[in-house]
Amino acid sequence: MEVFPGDYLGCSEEFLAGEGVYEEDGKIYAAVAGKVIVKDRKISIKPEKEIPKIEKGDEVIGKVVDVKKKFALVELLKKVNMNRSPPYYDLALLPASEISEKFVEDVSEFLSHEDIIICKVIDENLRISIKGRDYGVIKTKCSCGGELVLEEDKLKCSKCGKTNRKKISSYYGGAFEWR
Amino acid sequence: MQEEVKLIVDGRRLDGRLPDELRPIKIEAGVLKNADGSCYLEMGKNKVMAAVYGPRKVQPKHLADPTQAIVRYRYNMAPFSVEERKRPGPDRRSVEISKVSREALESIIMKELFPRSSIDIFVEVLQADAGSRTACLNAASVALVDAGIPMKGIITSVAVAKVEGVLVLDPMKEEDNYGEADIPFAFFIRNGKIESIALLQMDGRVSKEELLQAVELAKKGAMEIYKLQREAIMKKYKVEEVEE
Repeated sequence: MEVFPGDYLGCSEEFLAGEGVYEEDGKIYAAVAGKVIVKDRKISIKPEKEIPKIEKGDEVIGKVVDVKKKFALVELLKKVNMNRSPPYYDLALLPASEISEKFVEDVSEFLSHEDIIICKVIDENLRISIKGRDYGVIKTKCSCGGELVLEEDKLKCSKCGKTNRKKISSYYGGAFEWR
Repeated sequence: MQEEVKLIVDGRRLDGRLPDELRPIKIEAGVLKNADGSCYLEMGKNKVMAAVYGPRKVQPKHLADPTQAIVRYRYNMAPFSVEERKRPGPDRRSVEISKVSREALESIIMKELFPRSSIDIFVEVLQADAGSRTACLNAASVALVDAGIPMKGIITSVAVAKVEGVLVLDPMKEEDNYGEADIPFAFFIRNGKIESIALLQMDGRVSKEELLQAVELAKKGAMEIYKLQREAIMKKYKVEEVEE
């Protein structure tokens, strides 16, 4: 059944209010336009246009905003496969243990400030991981400001010639496409 | 000159409408690709375009409210929207309309669901012909529904004017310019019923009885617009289903 915001769906004795509905004076109304789903006496609406929600298991594109020895803080920008930007989320925590399968002594060897990474959310408290081939840096710049080019498994600066060991995603550079 | 203009002849208005008749309305939802929600609306000669962005991160950061989302509404008239070129940019009038319209919409948007975020609504008047604030509010609420933003109901807006002693619904430019009063209303409609008045302004003077009559007249017009707003959203989703 298609509903429109403000449509009366039932009373609170009949259903439990789920997503996309609201309760007022014991009555349940629709809050968004979409399809009504009733499951286990819980009434919710599957919206026609969803507002992105970042949850456990989601793949997210983020920007590294702070790098410490044992962790990095990442600003979550967008969900992979979703063009719409999400509402405000706190900074996500990337612990050293979630960077690689091997022991990581110092996070700054693998990530630096302003790197764009593709990562996976591993719990409800916005802890993220870049373990695995697909996850890691997809865009970065050398400390001199030059473009870093992928050479085998290392990044080489086209300006100063410095090489850089980073946790690189298989989508590094132009190869990345929205899956 | 002004005395010669006869606005009501034999109970009919200049464009042949009865006093309680609306102008033809056309609503189309989801017309802009990059906006999260959008709407194009024509109300007689009024042509407006609304776009909704968000909920998204607040820019600049210091405006963010840690308890709820902030709503920003921008009403803007294009320089070519009126007969004589309008100086572009915000002026006293458009800032005021933005404020009152924002307050009307804030009352129905469930802001507490998106702390530290912003919901930005932009409405452009492409062609104005009296009552553009009501057209903008109607377009903005359809765009908000199209964006999937949780709301308690919907805002539907319509104006009533007093012309040559008669109350008329949805005035056009001549009636607005030469009439005695112009009263724009916005109603909060839930479940097909008018719950409350979200906006009420008045330009000119009417008696208490006339104002109460005007409310009734506006309610009748608002219900018709509500049906069209609902249709516009439903039509868009029905078409999408067929394509799938």
